[in-house]
Formats: sequence, C-alpha cells, structure tokens
Amino acid sequence: MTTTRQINKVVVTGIGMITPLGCETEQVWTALLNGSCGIKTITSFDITDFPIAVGGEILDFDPLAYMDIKKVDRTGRSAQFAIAATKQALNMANIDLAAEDPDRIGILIGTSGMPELLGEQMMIMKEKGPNRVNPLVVSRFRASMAPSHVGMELGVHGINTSINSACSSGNDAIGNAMNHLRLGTADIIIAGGTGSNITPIALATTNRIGALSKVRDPMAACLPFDAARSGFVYGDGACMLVLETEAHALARKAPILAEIAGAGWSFDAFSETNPALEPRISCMKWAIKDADITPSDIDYINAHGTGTKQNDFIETEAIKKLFGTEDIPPISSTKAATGHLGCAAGAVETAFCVLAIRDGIIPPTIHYSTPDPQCDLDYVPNTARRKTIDLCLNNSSGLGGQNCSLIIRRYKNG
Amino acid sequence: MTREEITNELKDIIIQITHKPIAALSDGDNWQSIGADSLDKVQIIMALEEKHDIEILDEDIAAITDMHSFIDLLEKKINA
Repeated sequence: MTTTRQINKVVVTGIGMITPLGCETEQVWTALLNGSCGIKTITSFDITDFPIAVGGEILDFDPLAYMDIKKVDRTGRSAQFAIAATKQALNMANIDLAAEDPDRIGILIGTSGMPELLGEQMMIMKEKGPNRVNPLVVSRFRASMAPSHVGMELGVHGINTSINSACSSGNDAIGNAMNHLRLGTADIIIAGGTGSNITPIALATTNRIGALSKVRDPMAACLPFDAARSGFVYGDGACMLVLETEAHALARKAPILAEIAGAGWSFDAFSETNPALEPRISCMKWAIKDADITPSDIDYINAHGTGTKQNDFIETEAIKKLFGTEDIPPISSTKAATGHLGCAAGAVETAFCVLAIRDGIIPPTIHYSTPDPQCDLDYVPNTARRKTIDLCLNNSSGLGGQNCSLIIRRYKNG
Repeated sequence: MTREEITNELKDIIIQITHKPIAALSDGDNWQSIGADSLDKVQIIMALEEKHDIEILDEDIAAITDMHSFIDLLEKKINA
C-alpha cells in the first residue's frame, strides 16, 4: 500500500548572522556590497612565528548582548555565535515564540563543535589527573551542544540536531531542514551553521595539509579564481535562517524573503583533500532537478570559491560541464570578503543569495586582479552588479569529499 | 581556617560560579536553595579542591546533605 503525502513549499522568513564583516545582517550585507574585507592580521594569539598570519576574526562580538552570563559560561564560542544569529533571525522573522507550538519548532546546525577545548583538558589531565578536568567542557565542546543550547534558549522541543560534513555543513543543514519541513516534521526549523575556526590548532593542522594561504598581507591572502590564489583563509562566525512551511508563514502573515527550492548532495569517494569533478557536477544537477528547473534558469551562482588552486579550477570545470552550450550566469565567491567560515560558510552564502534576490544585486569577488586561463568565467570582479535575480545556485564542498548545493528562488505565492 | 572563614570563602565561590547573589550562607541551605545545579556543584567543589589542594571523593560528595555538612567536610579536609 502506498500513501500520498503533501510536499510543503519551504520559505525563508528571517536571517541572522555574525561574521567578520559585522555582527548584524544588514551591516554585513552593506559591507559586502561595498567591497569591504573582513580578513585582517590575527590578533587573538601571537602570530610572530606562526605560519598563518591572517583570518576573519570577530573582535566586536559581545555574547552578553544575546544571553546571560551563565549561558556564556556553559557555551563554546561557536554555540554563542549560533545563539546570537538565531535570536537575530527570529527578530527579523517577527516570530512570537509564545504564540507558537514549541513542539513544532526545530533546530539544525552545521558545526564541528570546539574540539580544541579538549586539547587543553588533555594537558590538565596529564598534569593533574582525571578529576581536575573542567566539567563545563562537555557542555562547550560537543557539536551536539550548539543546537542543544539554542533549543534551550528558545524552549523549543522539535527536531534538534547537529550536522557535520565539513565545509558543506551549512548548506547540508539547510537542505536537511528543507526536507524535514517538506515532509511535515516541523512548521519552523531554524537552520544554519556556526564555526569558531581561528584557533592555533585549527590553523596549524589545516596548514599542514597545504590548504591555507600563507600570505601575510590580509588584502592578498584570499584570492578566489585569481591566478595568484594560494589557499583559503579561515573566518569565524555563524548564520541562522528561519525556515518555515509556506502555509505556516502565510498563516502568521510573515515577511517571506525567498524560497529554498531544492537541494542536491554528492560524495567524491576519491581523496581526503583533493576534489573530484564528476560528483561536483552531479551535486548541482541533483539540486536543479530537485527544484524542477534547468541550468539556464539560474541567474547567479554563489561559488564555494575557496581560493585554493584545486577547488576553484574543479568548480569552474564543473560549472562549465553543467551548463554545456548554455550561457553561464555570473559567479562570485564571497569568501574573499568574509574568509572561509567552515561549517557556517554555506549558511552565510545562502543568506547572501536570499539578499541578492531581495535587492537585485550580486555581491562581488573582491581582490580579483589576475585572470587565470583555467578559471575563465565571469566572477563579478571587485564591484557588485545590479541584476534581477530569480534563481540562485549555492555550492558548498567539504574537505573529505562531501558536496551540497542549494537552489534559492524568488518567492511567488502558490 | 576557622569555620567562619571557610563559610565566607564558600559563599564567595558559590556567587562566582552560580552568578546569583547570596547575602549570607546558612547551615540549612542546600544545593537547590543556593541555586546550584549539578554542573555548578562540580565546579564549586573543584574550585575548593584547587584552592586548598585537597581531594573531595565521590562518596564525600554523596554525603553532603546541606551546607552544614559541606562546611563540616571542608573544615576537616582543609585543616587536616
């Protein structure tokens, strides 16, 4: 026996973000369109003899503006970013939690937790014994604790989980949330990603695999699609989106910003560090099929565009093969401005797609100066570009081979 | 340390960890009445262990019924 199930349309009604470009959505968006760069010389630890000198640090984030001192004690920085972004997003979405059924609100967050906190405790355990480790570390480091803390702050009881597919995690969380909402698991899911990436151990380990730019000039370190690109630059931050079923959003007369229309996933099954071409193509194809569109419908691509030699070449090739003889729309990498926010990257970039649709403008790839013959598409160099945008494709890929692409569509009722 | 000194020190540590004001600590207070949950409790005990280089065993913790019994235990451990 088969049953017929209604598939709900899923819409975005709120965005919150904490990024190196600012700690509020409209501030970040304005800075991005103006060509500002959030990458700076690292100041949170001594980089004098450190191989990596630049990153998208967040120096003006005050967790106490979003949570009480006790919650600050019990959370890692990445969960604090997620709580802040969630509260901003709920505010933009005009959601009165008291008027909602808490059983129907879920939280999905792409995060790797804060494993570096365990390192400190291992040193303490070695020196002083197992009874001297900090009991709060469990609450601070685990990946599952970011959604847990957000859910506790809001008092909501729907699906609550973390997702990790490395740098694909943000898109992955939004795509999974979309499917949960389509099937009716919840009415609202607050989904996105968070990452506190600029720590000595994260930079040292990622540097050892050759993925990071060693350039010490903040304005020349992250150069997506440029011939002089030398690796990616980490950034900190979070982005959370309020996703709702269309019916729920319409019933509460919510401001609808855009629709999450499709998601595609693929896995390279190839290498721990190097990307594979065909799965990149199939990932975009699945997303396009899921949204019931064709490549030629897409008006803008927010690329994964990390600034590594391999990623930017393979992504360019994949896009060319996807479009074949069709015209390829403008592509940009906003990582040149924000840095690579790791598990939050896909979520921030999905939010940028939503805002690009809202305002009819494509954010630029800043710091672009030297064309690479192997990367020969239109990357919207240096200056934002006016264009009516109805459909965006947002690509994310993770170290290890996980890919996730999303389709973001201008909302039309019905 | 005198019992009064230990009581005052304990009160300060409780305030520091729970972030809740306490005017005075009375013998009849317990973890709940001072607003300490299980994580606060472990932190309070660890702070005292660190400060005085003492060890409070799990069976000692289980025997703490109120602040009176806790201060008794601290008096014994700190002044041993």
